[in-house]
Amino acid sequence: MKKALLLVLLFALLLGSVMTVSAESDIVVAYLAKNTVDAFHATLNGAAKEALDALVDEGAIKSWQLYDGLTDPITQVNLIEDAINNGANFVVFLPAEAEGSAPVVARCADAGIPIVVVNSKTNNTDELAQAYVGSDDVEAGEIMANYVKEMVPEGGKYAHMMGIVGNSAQMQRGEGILNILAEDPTWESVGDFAADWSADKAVQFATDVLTQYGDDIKAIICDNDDMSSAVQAYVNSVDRSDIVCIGVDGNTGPLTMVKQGALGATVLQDGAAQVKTAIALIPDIIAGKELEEKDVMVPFTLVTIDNVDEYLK
Amino acid sequence: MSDKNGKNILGMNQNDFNMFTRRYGIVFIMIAMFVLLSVTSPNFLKLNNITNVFSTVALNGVLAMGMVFVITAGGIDLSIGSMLALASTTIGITLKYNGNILMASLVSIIICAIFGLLNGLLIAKFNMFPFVVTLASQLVIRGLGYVISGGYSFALANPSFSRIGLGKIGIIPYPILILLSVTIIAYILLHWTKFGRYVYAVGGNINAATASGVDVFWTRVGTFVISGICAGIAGIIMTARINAAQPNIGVGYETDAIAACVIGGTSFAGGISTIPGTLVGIIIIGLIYNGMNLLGISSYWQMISKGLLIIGAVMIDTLINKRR
Repeated sequence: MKKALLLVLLFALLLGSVMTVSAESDIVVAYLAKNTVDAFHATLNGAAKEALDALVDEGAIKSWQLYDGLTDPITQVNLIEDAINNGANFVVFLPAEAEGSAPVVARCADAGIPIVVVNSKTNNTDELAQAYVGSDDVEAGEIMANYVKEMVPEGGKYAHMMGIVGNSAQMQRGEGILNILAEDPTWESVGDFAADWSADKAVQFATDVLTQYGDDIKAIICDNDDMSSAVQAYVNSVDRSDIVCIGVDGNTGPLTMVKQGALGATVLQDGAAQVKTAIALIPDIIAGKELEEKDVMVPFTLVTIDNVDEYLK
Repeated sequence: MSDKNGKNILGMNQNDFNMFTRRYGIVFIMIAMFVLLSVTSPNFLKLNNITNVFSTVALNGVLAMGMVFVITAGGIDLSIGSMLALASTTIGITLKYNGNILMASLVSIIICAIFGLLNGLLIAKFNMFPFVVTLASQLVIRGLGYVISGGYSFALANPSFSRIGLGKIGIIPYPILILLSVTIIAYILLHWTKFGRYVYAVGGNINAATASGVDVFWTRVGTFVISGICAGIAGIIMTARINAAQPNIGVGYETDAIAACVIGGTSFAGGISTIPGTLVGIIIIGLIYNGMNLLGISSYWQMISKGLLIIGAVMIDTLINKRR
């Protein structure tokens, strides 16, 4: 099996080199992924493959390779060295951590290698990266809070299931929720629970919250969809489908639940659009064109039963 | 036992051959990987890449050098991944309030050594299973990392700390020098001192060791303290490389350290190991990662290869043990 893989690989390399002889571009793109296992990043990596393959076909770049960061900043710091040794002279980077992954951006800046940061920023992205493409997570929190207000106009108590505390997406989504609900006297928070993006932890917290506050709980707002879909499934199973659960991401699973009516809504983070936008910047950056904006924001979208078909593929 | 083996392999009788493969078989695998990668990837043998392989394995290598003592004495230490996180946050806090790099490094090593001591005391004093004790203590240690950092990661107050991770003497990066120093100290300690002989005696047969007057209690405790010290040193390298204090880091790093020991010929039954073997084990793991990255093979296959290699190494170990 490994032999077969190696053969296919060698063949692909050969084919790649034959195709690029005529194209003459010497740009080798390293696509340094955050990971290759969770649903959101699988979608993102898939979109990246499509877009980068297209650039190779057009002759805008010579070749590209995916490096798997395993959601670990140390791995990413090591991988950038592998990529540079492998001849990479352009980097598309999805940081695992805002602080810990920062040396990757610094290393590229030192080596004079252009780098585009995607999805979340490192703390040195603004100074050192050529561009950043992402989404404003505060906006996602506000969309969730507004949806909850719309669904339960009379207000009540809500719980917030957080991602890993300290992660920028977690902090900003929480900020967005507070922007809307803290000002609203009809809504009261029963607490922010550190569920670490994880469905089972969120369900455990939800169980405790329901035991303690019972019918007063009107909504459970989650920082991601893994948690919101699991919590919604749980509350539905204990005859509390009146509780509004919502989260961010818009992966296939939650979208299917929206379509089936099991989940009210999700806030779609269009990761595919983020990475495609980032890759589309590559030719301009190579050509040395001045970018209109260094920060490119891809908007979040509220997906409900009305528009789910547009996004469920 | 060896009398019934009449056959010769490579001019050695069965027993000598077993010793030979145990001692040097893994070295041949490493050399074979070097040759294979040199042929298949034009970038592999470049000086930059070789130093990169070694700086990458430095962190795991230092962890493995501590782990090999624990496993040789019949234990296991699952808490070193969490110790990395605690060391990292300790360095972050110390640098914030003190700014002295040496001080921050020492404090992190001492804190990890103290938790190694606690692990060892619980295990040796109350005869609790090392697996369970360190499984539990890793939660305590990681939790503390979150407590002292407030759950947040933050950039280091003294940026020159990152020189430890990125600086070089000549062409050799500091992490490699640290790994070499730790390896030499570990070699002397395990192979040349009374303590080292005690470690082998305790791991080989704890009752026989007790009967022959070996200080079993402090030998077992000592191995966990060494593991803690190594985790502290590795934590310094790691923190310097990412230039940030990060409480959620180091998850699963114990697996690579254990894998390096096993691939390097350390027996899980205790009593058998070598420091050079462990070093070779960690280099092999580094070569798997680096080689497959250079060849563009996905990380899924890196995982599978590492798993298969560990199974292979354990199988050789079991087969040889059965024959003895």
